[in-house]
Amino acid sequence: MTNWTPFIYGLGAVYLLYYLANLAFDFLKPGTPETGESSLMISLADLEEPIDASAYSPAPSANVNQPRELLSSGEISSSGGVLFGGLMEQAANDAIFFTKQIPT
Amino acid sequence: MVIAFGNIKPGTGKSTLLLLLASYLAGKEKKKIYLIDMQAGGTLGLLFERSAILEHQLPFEYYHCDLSHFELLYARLGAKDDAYILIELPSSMHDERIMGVFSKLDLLFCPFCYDRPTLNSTIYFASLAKRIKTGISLVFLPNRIVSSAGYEFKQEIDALLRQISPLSTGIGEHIGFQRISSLQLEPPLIERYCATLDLIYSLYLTKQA
Repeated sequence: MTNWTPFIYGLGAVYLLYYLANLAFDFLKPGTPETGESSLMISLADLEEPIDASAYSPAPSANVNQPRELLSSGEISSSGGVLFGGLMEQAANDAIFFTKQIPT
Repeated sequence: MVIAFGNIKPGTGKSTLLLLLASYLAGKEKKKIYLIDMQAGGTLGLLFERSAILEHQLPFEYYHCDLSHFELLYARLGAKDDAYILIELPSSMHDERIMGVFSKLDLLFCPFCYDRPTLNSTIYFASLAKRIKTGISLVFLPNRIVSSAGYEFKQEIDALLRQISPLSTGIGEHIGFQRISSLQLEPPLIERYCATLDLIYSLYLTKQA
């Protein structure tokens, strides 16, 4: 019969040995990559070239006369928040409004 | 310049008038002309088949294309400034990809006749076109006008259509249209409509360019 205390000690010793062996294996393994040369460090700050802030127009009010061009999001390819079914319904209502005016 | 012919009512003369305009433009200008037929199993397709068998030398290029391939074909044809792209729109408008086609249009012709069912469809088509693309230049084109016949309420109908969009001069009925059997039109038929087409050309086509 073993007691709990020696069992815990034994287990601790086994774990300690295991981790020590693990560390020793990692350090002593041949062909370990040397830090510094082979690993590539990319600093994002180095990639960004300094910009010439004066190139930007300080006065955006120059284009205020053509706000459409400024706000343009390209060619219109959607119905502007209205579903196509809704668009057809609106068209049908328009059509009814006009066809009602045809004398019979 | 991209010109389309459309109406949800079949049989209003979309194909015939498109073919007439294409043939007229071929004689008028040196620009390249492309016909895009988006109507599945439509008249233009059948006429093209016959022209292919007879090996006609056509003054324009014919393409059949459905809504899913339109963007690709349009991008491929590319240069629109020095070319006329004439499109026959499909009769069925229940596909939202039609909006992509509408966004490309410079001018939309809507051929119609003065009978009640056609008028209803025509007005619906025009309303839908206006809803899809606000400010689209749509032109109503009265077709099959019999000069000797009287049309009931023609004045009222014309006034009503003008509320929606400009109304062009009418294309008269002619037996030559029923004798069309291929994409190659008989020169006398084009000559007969030369004056009308000249007017349409100067009013709507040159103004856009």
